[in-house]
Amino acid sequence: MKRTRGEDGAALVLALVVVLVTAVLGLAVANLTTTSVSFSNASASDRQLSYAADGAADWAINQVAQALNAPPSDPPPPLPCASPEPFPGFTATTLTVSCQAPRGGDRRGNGGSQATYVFTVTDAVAQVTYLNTTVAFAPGGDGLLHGVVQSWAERPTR
Amino acid sequence: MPVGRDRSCTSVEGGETLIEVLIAIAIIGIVAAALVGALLTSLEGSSANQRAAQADGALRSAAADVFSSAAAPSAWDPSGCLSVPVQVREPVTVTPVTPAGSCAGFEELELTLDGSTAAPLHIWVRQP
Repeated sequence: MKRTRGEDGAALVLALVVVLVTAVLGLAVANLTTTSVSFSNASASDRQLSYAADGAADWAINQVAQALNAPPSDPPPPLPCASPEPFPGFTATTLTVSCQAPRGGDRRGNGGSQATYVFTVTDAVAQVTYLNTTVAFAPGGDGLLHGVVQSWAERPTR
Repeated sequence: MPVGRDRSCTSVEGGETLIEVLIAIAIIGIVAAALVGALLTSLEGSSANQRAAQADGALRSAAADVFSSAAAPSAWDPSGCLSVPVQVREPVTVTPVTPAGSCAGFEELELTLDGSTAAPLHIWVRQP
């Protein structure tokens, strides 16, 4: 068979292109899988952190409620979380809670019947604020002050 | 390269086509194996993601049930611990982490999805 001009094949180029495309596809699939798995792990970690931040706020609210309901003493004990307190229940990261006491009046608030505190949960290391919540401590049927959440603003998570 | 064989082929040219075909088959085989491997890994990863998503939903749903139960003052015993077992809709086991009697109105619970290797979820509940 006689070969004429211009009939030279492009087999090598085609083969290289096919190999390249296949390799890119394979890498893309592998990369997608790796990304998905790492996202799942990060999402689970983020979920746990979100619940831990909620727990930290509830822990601080409980601490303040106990302090407010404690028998009066002279001098009064320092208010919990007046300075940032580390949340002992979650050690995977450093969650701290700080609370802002009401201004004026005694620690139970003006008139001693109700006090509103603002709690802030942050990661001091990462410098991230996870949530802010406003809690009113009002007397319940048992005569003790109970924390009632007025607002609860969380940092959006995955 | 000549398309067919003709009598002008030398002995050196005679085996080239076979070698080329074998090399091509080897390359295609390696690439195909790699691609199939990547696809299988992707499939496995997809299944793992699906399981993780299902576990996530079940654990979140169970956590919501626990929070709902804990919102009722009657769910707490005199020592300030949440009365267990807490009823949840999902196949999730709720295990108290805080030692009994030392809760004082605040308790840590561990939620584990039955029959799953998903990481347990820790939640904290406060007595209202």
